Amino acid sequence: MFVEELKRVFRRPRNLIILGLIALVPILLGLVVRFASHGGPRGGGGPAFFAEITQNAVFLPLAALASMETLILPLAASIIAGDSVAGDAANGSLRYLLVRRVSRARTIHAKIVAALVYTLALSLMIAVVGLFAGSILFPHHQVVTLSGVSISFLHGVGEALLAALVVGASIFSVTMVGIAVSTFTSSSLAATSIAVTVAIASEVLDAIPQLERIRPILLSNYWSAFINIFRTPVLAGPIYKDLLEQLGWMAVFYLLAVFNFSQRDITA
Amino acid sequence: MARWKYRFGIPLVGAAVALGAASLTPALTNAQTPLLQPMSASQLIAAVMGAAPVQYTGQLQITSNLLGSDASLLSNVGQGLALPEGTSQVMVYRGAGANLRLQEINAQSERDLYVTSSGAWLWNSAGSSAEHVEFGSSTQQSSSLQQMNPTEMADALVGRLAPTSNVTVGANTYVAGHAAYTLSLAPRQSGSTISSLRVFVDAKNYHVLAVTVNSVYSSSPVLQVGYQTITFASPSLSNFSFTPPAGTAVKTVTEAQLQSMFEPTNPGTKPVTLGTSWQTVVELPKTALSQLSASVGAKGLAELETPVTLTNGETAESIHTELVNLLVLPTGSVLAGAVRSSVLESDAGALGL
Repeated sequence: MFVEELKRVFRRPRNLIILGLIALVPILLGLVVRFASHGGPRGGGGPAFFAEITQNAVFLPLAALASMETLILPLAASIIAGDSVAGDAANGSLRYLLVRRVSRARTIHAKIVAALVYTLALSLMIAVVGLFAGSILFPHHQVVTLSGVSISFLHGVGEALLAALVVGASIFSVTMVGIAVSTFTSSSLAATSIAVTVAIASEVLDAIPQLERIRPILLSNYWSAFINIFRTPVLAGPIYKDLLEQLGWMAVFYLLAVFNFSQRDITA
Repeated sequence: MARWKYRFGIPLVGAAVALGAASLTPALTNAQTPLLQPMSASQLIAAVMGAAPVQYTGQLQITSNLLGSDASLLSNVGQGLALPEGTSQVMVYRGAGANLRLQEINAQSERDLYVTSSGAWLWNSAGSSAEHVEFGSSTQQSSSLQQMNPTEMADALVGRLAPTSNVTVGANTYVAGHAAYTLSLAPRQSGSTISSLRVFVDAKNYHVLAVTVNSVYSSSPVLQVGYQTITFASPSLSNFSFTPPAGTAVKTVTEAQLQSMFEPTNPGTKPVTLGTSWQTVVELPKTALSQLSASVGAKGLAELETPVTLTNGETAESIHTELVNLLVLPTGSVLAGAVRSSVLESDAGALGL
């Protein structure tokens, strides 16, 4: 059941196209920085690690992750999550899924796992493609962390992959919101829009200084925590807070998804 | 209809539990009062002064709320703001001997100070630049402080403070999970904007864990420097060593240059002070105003200013913050102090204005 659902998600042409488009971003970013700018965008500005792209191959996937985490990644995750139940309800396959001798709980769990795996695949795709493109376009020698300490290139690659996992996990809350809304409607577009809106609303509220008190409960508050992997020693506190934040949001929308799906009348 | 209970009730309970856990956890840990052996203020000060150096790793948080509600006025002024406002995070690693590392954590960058007995490095990740100071053999930190009896020093200090300040030991509390004594210093004189200074001291090793400055204008501290987390164990030696990465612009500063940086540029023009103790006010020369205007921006400064009529009928501009008040006199010089504006106005009167 779980493997079957994963296969369904990763075989759908639309989902593969999204993965492909996402993979294009680090390549384009690398090409633009390598050929279109003069000597690299030095002196700060732009997302995290942008100024460092030309210095080392490792920084290309990181800059790509930092610039895509705020909109493109949540959007891509929402599309899959919003479609997970609503899509099947709309095209009628949900009925056939439920007629089989598999409990509803098992069905929704399989869908949740598949959507979360896809979310992780999105961020890992950026990291892997970014590392390849970076290795071709930029030097790959020792990596200098934000603390000014040199680490080996392989160590840097490992930390970039770890950063991708953290970024992927940071989007889990958005994915779970998408799945939960998806159990209420047969319009996957509506579910996707609501999940994206929740993510953007969280980012907007996070930017208002007067709302500082509610920041710790916003799902996007610790999205830039992955940057702390590139300090020496690694500053794990914000990363744990980020993961805890995601767990909190996931728990609430997981309950909503599971209980709504198991009690709802499937009319479609 | 009972189904609705499951579909929405259980997720709602989940949301309530998550929100409750998020909001209550910090409140619960701060609300407790540890039972500690009672100490007098001078005993506590003596314990702090006589405390053996400790090794630790801690996350220091510096919060400034100087501008209070005016902070939003300045948010559009720009990046060149020199006024400290907001929160900054510094990781502190304190090792044996001179070993020290300060790591200023910014959202996308980092500044580091690495200190060992042989020298110090200042690293800035934005722009990859480093400054290096080599310590000569002459810098042996003379421990004259430790040769004196801490109890006598503490008694002398409390005795000197007594006429102007209330020095007390307040309610015990927890700072960064450690039981702490609270040493409180409050002015006896009226007219100060400082309502109290609080020093939080670890009850086990008498290390200072936090300092807060409270203002008469607000209930929450205007300045707060304290550890969010602190572990008293010797940090790994790798935290203190620094080798500038290849391609770094290294600027070497000699010890003599470093000393000259901390000396006043022209000691001839010492600022004039008025009043005593908590009511001390500094009269700054005209250049101070142009410096302030340059850092805040003329527009930002104008937004903060309020006109005040002096006793001689002339108009001065008053600038109010939660801690420091400024009075820009018609002559162009500036009176500044952690005092209420009425004190500044009477000081201006004493100057003949």
